Amino acid sequence: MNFICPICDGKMSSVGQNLIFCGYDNLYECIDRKEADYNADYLLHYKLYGRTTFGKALNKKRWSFVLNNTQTNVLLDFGCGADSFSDLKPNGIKVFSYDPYFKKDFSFLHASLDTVTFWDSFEHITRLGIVPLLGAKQIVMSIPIIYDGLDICSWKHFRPGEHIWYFSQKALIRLMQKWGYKIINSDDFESVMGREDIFSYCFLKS
Amino acid sequence: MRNDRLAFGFVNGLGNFIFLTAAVKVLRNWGYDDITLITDLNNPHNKRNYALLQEIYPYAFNRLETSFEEEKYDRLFICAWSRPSLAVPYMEKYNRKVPIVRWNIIGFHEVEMYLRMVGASWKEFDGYMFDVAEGPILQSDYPRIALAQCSGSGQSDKKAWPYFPELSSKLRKMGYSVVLVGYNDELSGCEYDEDFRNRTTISEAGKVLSQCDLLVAPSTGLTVVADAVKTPVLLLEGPMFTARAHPLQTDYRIVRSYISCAPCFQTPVWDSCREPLCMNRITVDQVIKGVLSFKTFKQKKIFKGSDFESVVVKKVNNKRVAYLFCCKDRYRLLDEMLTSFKKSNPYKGTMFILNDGSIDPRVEERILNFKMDGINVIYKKLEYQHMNVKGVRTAMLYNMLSDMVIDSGETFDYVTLIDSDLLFKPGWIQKIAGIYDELKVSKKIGLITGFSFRTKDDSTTYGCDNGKYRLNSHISGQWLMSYQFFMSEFGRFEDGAGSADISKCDDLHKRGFTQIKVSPSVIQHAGAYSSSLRIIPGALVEDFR
Repeated sequence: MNFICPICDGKMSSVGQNLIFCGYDNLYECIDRKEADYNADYLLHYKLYGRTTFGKALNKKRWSFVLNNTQTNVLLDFGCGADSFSDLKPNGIKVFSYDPYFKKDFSFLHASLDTVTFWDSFEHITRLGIVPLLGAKQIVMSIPIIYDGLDICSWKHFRPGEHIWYFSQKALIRLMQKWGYKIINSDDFESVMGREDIFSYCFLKS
Repeated sequence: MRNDRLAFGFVNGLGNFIFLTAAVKVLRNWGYDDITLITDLNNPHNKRNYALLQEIYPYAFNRLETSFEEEKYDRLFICAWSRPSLAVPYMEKYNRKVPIVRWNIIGFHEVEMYLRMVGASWKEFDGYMFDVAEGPILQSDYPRIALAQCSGSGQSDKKAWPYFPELSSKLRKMGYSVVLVGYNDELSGCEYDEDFRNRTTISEAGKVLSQCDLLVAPSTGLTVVADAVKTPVLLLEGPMFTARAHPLQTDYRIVRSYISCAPCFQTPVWDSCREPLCMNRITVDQVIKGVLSFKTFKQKKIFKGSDFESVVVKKVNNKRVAYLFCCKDRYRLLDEMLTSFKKSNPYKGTMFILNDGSIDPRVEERILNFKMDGINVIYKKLEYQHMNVKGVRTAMLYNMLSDMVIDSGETFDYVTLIDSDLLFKPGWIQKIAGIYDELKVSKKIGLITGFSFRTKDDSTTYGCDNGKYRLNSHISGQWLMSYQFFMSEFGRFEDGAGSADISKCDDLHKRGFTQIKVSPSVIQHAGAYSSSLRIIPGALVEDFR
């Protein structure tokens, strides 16, 4: 079976451990498609996490990142989990939340989206092709980023079945370019707050 | 009632002061009745603002003091977040520390910080304490747009936007009244209908803004005043943190120029910046698009609907028309439409075509091969076809078409939206435009719609009696409007279920317009032809093919 790189459309090669790799883009995909435990316990964990002081501070900073870098009036939080991000929404912004496992609310289909956010959810999406179909003017995300010399299999963000994609910064930017988005800002505030190797990016439809 | 004596130490600008009143209001709600404002007269920032502070402190405080005497108060709050010179004498005198807030790090709204300072939370936020004067009363016509630069701020070299004169000129051409507010010679060179620069107190500026439909300004004190009087704001954002100071009570939109060094306030980049590209790169067209995105104009009702079907049509020549349409995969209907369009002897102008990700190569080929004297074609293809749920994304596509017209920089006499499955009779556009001109009400009459669409004034029905396409009375097609109406009033399509056309009509109705209903008998929907006939046998009285 051939696996095609979503960025360069080339063939991806196996590097063992159920990982396939595109050397041109430095992109890994975990093909272990066992069902992740997206159950009530999983949701509860993130719900409680969002209520902690750290969780609230983190989501505040995320809102700050969105407001300071985009023109947002209508926002979709894709992979909203327990809605801890949208709970802190500031005045003046309409927020839709969607999660394929926990909140199948498709009301966003009727809206013209300014911004779609993927907070720790982009790497979970099995079919990345749906992202450009959302038609957002801006995409904001935080995502674990791999770096040179990293042993992915012992990385703390290596979670087969849950994290499908392992992007380098170059791969992420190239993928977005392919979909017509250019990078306008990036930030390491999540890393600074203690969330190792997680970076935030803001992309604009060009 | 609580008898504790509270005091706030504060030196800063107008906007910051109004933000602070949110916390004072919470304290008043809690029953604190003795609140003092302490400020530092020698502070260079305060010298400029002192007269202003004298005017506005009674909104929220019992008295104004100029020296720190901690013993006099039960609780003392110091808001010296960006002006540490106020805190220095206090720190020296009482050997205490006052932290300086780094807004780029904490990510809070400024109001939230003040609320936290007094021990309150967002839930207790109850607006600002701001008194609006009784005058002046504005005389200019609605819709009114207020323009403000930096309201005398010392940061004006970083956050001033240089293109206000050009914007004011364009807004006036589009039919808006322009009202200037602010200080000194800011906004010099702007065209205006009313000018209140240097002529109002803050309360009066609040009154002026409360009578406007929109304020266009960089993030400054007057945007906070607009927030206090609940006038929508279009924020021109550059170096300042939107998250710190966005409006809390009113609708707002942001225009920015996406540059990676912005926002830079309180960072080393701020001090080293010699040319604020983040502001200079915001274009006038971007701002106009932002203005058009507001739907809250306090538009007066200008026109009452009546029966115009007996209007005598005069043919008007030498008009320029923008023809807008989007297409998908219905090649046969598109082919028929373009053929009948060519034969119909339309006015000269430009055809704006948006291809919504067609997968049929013949569609693009047909469009690219379409050539006609006097008709320019501006074509754009989207890479992906949008989800084809009924009505979904239609609004977005129409908005893209509107943007294409604005981006083209051309001007027209009329703008019309047509479908890719229409059939035209010769002279159709002349006839509809003739009706439009014959009405001669004003440039603000709104749009002519081909739908049998009734507003809530006339009856309670939306849509038409026999479904969307009334073949028996020949009513079909889309709308036609004057270019001035398109630029000044049309705004954006509201998303929603069903047809975007209907929701647009609904939106205009809410703003006080009544639709004009005409039966031009010159356009027929080919796409709905067979489906309508299935519903209403014999409804078709004439086939345009």
